Amino acid sequence: MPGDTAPDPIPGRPFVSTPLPEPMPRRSSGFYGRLVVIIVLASVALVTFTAYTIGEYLSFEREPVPVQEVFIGSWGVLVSGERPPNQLLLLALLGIALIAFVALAFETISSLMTISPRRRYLEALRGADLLEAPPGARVRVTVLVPAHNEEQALPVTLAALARQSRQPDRVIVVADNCSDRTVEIARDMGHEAFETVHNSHKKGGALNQVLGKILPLAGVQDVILVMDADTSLGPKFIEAAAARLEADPELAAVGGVFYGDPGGGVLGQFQRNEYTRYSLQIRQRRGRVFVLTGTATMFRAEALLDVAAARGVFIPGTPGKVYDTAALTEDNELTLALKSLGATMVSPPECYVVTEIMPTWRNLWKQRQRWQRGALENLSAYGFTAATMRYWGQQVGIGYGTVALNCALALMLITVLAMPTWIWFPFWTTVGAVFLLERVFTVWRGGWRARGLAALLLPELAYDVFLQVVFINSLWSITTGREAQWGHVEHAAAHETAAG
Amino acid sequence: MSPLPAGLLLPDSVLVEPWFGVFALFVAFNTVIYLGLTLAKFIPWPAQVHPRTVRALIHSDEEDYKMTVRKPWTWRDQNDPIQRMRAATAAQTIPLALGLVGALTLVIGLVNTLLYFSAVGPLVIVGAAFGLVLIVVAQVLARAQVSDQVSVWTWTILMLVLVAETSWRAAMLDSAVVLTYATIALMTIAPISMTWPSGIAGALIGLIPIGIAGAIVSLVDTLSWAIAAVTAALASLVLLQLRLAGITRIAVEQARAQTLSSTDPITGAFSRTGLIALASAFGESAERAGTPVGVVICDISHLDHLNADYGFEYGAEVLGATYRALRSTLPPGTLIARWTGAGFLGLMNGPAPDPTVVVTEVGEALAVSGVALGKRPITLTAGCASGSPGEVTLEELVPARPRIRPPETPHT
Repeated sequence: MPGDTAPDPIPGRPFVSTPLPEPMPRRSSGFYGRLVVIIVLASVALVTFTAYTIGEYLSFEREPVPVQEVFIGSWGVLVSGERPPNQLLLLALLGIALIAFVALAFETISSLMTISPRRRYLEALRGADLLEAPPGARVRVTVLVPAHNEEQALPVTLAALARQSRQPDRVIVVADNCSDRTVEIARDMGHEAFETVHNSHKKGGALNQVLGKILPLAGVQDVILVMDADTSLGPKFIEAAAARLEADPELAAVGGVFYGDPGGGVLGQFQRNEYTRYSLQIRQRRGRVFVLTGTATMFRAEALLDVAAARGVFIPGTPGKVYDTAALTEDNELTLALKSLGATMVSPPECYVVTEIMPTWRNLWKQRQRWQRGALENLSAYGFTAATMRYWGQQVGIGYGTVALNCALALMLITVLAMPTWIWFPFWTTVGAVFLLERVFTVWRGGWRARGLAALLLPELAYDVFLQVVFINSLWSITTGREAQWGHVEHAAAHETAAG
Repeated sequence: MSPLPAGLLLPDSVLVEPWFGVFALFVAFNTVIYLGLTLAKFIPWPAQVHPRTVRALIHSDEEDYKMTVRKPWTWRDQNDPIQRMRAATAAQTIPLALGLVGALTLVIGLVNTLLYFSAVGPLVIVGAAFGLVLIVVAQVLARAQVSDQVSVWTWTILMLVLVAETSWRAAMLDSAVVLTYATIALMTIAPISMTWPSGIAGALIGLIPIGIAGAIVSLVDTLSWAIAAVTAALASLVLLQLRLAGITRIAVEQARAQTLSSTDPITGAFSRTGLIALASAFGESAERAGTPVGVVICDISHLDHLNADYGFEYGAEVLGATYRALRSTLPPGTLIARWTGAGFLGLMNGPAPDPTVVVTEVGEALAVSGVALGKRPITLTAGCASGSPGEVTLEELVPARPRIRPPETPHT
């Protein structure tokens, strides 16, 4: 096994001494980061202002609706027939039509991106016309498992890998700065172990080292599954993902749909519900991917080669490196990179993975802070392009959602605090019921606990507010230029039972 | 039973205050929007469009993007990416923008016609008719091959006419609403026009009719001006983002021009710079694996004579054929670059093959390609060297070639 015997590179003499021109640097996050914050906030303010103007305009025509007392048996309740004026419904309908139009435009643009000239250029560069695999040819699956002191989780993960309906052709555990038995465990279980050398760039740096070694030797039939050491794959993940890549030679990557580990109490359930809804959304979008999850994604080796070749030219980063180590969230960044090069990707429901959930609020805060801030920083690095347009829209959507939800909560609070008696509004009760049903049905496959939590409505609203506070905080920390940090959960032995 | 008592912390007069009414309507608007989005979650999406389908739908000139083109190389394209960017933007953006502005004008015009025809008379039809004209012009520009100058000027003049026409109508109808349309039109077209000097001049001239109409119109209603303010904010945002996108595009074009130099335009092989850029990682990889690397140099003898006798076009064909022959003979994964005018360099994992074998195999592949049919035979020479990346550098391996150069072997 080459991974076992690879000697350390001899420091001192480089293979090539001819100097090269300086690569295009990734934009420093300071100025552009703030610009992103300004653009997101301005867009949110604009949408809010438009909605507010509409409210102001309609308030002139608003007439008070009398409250009636209705008896159900001997129970008398006050009922108000108040409902939004017709003009408001019409304007909101226009708003929905506008959102639908934008969604359609994003879809069209992303379809057009798939025939990007960059793609042909990169294909010509690697001589794709000379070495093309016929559709249906069997792919060779190499699994890369980056691991940083994962002796607890690794045996479970590798054992789960052995139970896949289709076995990978090669498994390489990428031991990154490990001080525990990670390497021994990998070798004992009959897999290759690759130890990183002087890596100070976390997961992305570790993967770059191993990819730099295997990609130059990869052929058209090679696919690479990058998966986390604390993640267990669905039993048919490899079979389904490989089948997709075999069937469609133009498909660049198959991403996993992730679910949360059991346990973790209410906090765990919140996260599981969130993941369940997200996976439902992906399924309803017919596998259209927002992010190729870092927990498990299968890439065509050629697609990664293209990313490495295009770095510093079409996309930010160091030339020749697959992962941009300056990015906080490397999976979101790689997705943007692939999309910028016109790659197509899919997340089929069969390719599900179960990943760890954050055990404490503090861990969750750190994780989400990193995701959110990473996403914003990546947008600042890529700018406003055809490939990133949808992601900008997503950020504005999160911002508007923050304003809308908190205003609605404030309104409810004020109403409850100021009303002398309880009055029922049938219109708004119906709307509330629709939301409630949606909350419950979207987590239906999560089991009774998930449905029960969703049915309570208020706890999940509080969880949403928590995520929105993370959003606002990451905008704030980018503006003040505070350093972002990685969070790492040390695994207890209990994780084995959870993942197994 | 009496109604449930609720909170008594705030005076119930809060509920009838005007700000509360506006706030409640604002929340109601958001809630209805979110209700729509929630219901939309249950609408299934169509399957993803395969690139194959997109290619079938949209005609694209593939040859333009193939790096293995044998087109004459124009220095203007190569040296001025900004010029190219402008031309491309003119060709792509203007018909689309014209179509969108036309569609919007048409819709507003039709709505106005339906609402106010009886009150105002045939004057309201002008807007709709103009929208139709814009759509037709957009179609013509999209289909006909016009120069970027023509489309830029068409856009600028038509947008000026739109602003002037709307301002004129505002003055005729004495309506601030129509004046607002004119302002919106000017604001939204400004960012697109900003790319060209004529567009900037047009945007400045456009302020004049709006200014005159603004002086004539006596009616001012709050909502219209609120919308105008919002639109102004929107327009400046679009302007900002467009400038950003523009900067990115220029950067990308420049970077691309730089990369083009890492590819040889005649053969599609790496250029000297391109190979050197990759060689470092290649060497590192071989060093880790503990394997040697091989270097093969393959020269076409007397290429200058072939050029002189049969023309440069034929010379380029020979180079291309030799590159393809090398690709098919050397092991997969070999990096091949056009190293000199008539020579290629292959950098491979593992020891280099015997030079005689290279010459024989490449020569055979060349013969099969039929490039030299009816012409003078092509003569190849090859030299090979191997070494361990930890001990030698690429630069040292390459000049080692003459020492192991075999006798020249002619091939047809």
